[in-house]
Amino acid sequence: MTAPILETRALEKRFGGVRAIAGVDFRLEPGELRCLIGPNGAGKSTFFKMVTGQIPPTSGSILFQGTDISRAEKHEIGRLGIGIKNQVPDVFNGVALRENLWLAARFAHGAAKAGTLADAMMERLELSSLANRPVGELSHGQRQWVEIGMVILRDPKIVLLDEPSAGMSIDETNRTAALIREVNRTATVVVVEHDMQFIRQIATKVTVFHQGSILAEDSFDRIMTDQRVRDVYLGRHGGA
Amino acid sequence: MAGERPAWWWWASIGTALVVLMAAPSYLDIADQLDISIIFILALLALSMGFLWGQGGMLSFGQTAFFGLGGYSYAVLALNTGETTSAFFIAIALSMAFALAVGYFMIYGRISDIYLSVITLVVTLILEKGIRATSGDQYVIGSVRLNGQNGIPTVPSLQLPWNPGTELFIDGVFYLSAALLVLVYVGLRLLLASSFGRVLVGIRENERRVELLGYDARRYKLAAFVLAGGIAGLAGVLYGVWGNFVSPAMFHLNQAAQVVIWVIVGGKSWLIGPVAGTAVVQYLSNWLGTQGVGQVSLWLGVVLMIFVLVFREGLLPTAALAIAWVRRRLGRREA
Repeated sequence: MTAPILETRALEKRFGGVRAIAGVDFRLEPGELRCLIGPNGAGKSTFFKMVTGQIPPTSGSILFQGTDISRAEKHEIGRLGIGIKNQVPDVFNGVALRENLWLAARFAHGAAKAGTLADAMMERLELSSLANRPVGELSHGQRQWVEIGMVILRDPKIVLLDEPSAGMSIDETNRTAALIREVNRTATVVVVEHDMQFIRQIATKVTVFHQGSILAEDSFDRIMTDQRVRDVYLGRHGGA
Repeated sequence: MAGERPAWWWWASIGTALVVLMAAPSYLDIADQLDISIIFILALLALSMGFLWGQGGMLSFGQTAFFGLGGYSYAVLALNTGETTSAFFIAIALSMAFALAVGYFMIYGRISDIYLSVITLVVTLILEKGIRATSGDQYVIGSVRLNGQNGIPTVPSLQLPWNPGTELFIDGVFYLSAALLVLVYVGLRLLLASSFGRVLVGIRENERRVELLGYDARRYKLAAFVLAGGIAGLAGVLYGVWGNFVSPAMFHLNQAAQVVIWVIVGGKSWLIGPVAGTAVVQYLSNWLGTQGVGQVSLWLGVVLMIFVLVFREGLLPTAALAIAWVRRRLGRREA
């Protein structure tokens, strides 16, 4: 077994009396393309936000390549190489598309190369014709791509994508799946999704969250036939 | 707008403005020169506030804290040493140091935007009350009495650095304040086209995203806050030089609120907005004062309400929107 690129130990987050994350032990091997699924409120987004420093954990630890990052600032985690696309498009709405990508490229590659890299990314996302439009005017799906593009431009080691295909047409979803597989060639990827067709397209291994804990972790096909997972999704209770 | 280098017409306008400003004193009498100089000086103060708010997303309600501090520092230093050039620069440096201290606690303490407004306002009010309480004989710095609410009269005029025997007269203050206003405006505009400025605008748009990309947003915000403190301090020094007088009114709530009004009226999304806003409001209040309308402040309040309710973007951006709209209409008719 190789050393994990990301690991959490007894990770816990309490909001008042609610345990949003209740002792999660999570391991991610380098190069994986992992999907996180689970019903609403299972703690998937909270888990992502803790890994990227947006929410401090109540207890437990998060290790990135063996280094404890559970108390690190957002920008420090970003520099280490963990990039995230948040659930709601998290971009610079009032600023032109090209400028959005420029700001992302500039940090990792310097001002001299940033322009070229931003242009190349617009080509790759097929959004070049919109270069000077404020991102706030673009469609939901386009903004998701812009955000994914910004994350990739940082050359991260781990890419966390929170619902990357939400609000997309079938065609757009397929393109997103292709993009994610491409990203996975150079980075470890974790995707939170609800769309099972989409997960079937991309996932090798699936982790199921339920009420702040990991309920199951296996290949997509096995997870789909797991009775506990079905119960959780369909709201059935054991033995009923 | 952000990130783009200024176009040729922008540089041409700056050049024209400089020529007009440098020629103006020959055609203006002394009273007009005084009236216009103070608009330049207050426009610098508005520019410091508008830059922070419009570009950095930080609504500092108390830029007057650094304005007053700059003015008082210059007065005390120049009166003690009899030398004005170093007093000029040290006063600005002190304003920046104070901005660094205040800004550090606010920005590294990660207080929210609304509290930044409240704290800056409270800081300027504390300074005002503090200075007002110094009327006793015991409040002396070096050989200078602070004089409480009477302020410090006899603030020295600026001497020429290469010839301390010569003092700047009214036209000299006009040239200096006009040149510094243009210089600061051009400097800020170029700053916005630099990497620093582009990141700053990114922070205004979405601070979390900037940080997730790996930038330490706090450093950028603090740098912008200190820079704006320095510009407000510069305005304060010039204010002291302009009237040979500094007083606690420089820190007062009225003054602090006026700065916000200038910026709102002119529009904060462009750097030229606060400058235009200062000119328009100051001219308007001078004019209203001669029209016998009674309470000038009341009328200014009405003007502000109209701007906040109707022209939310402020004067200049609204005008630009109107022009763009007319152009589109004309274009459609031709097509």
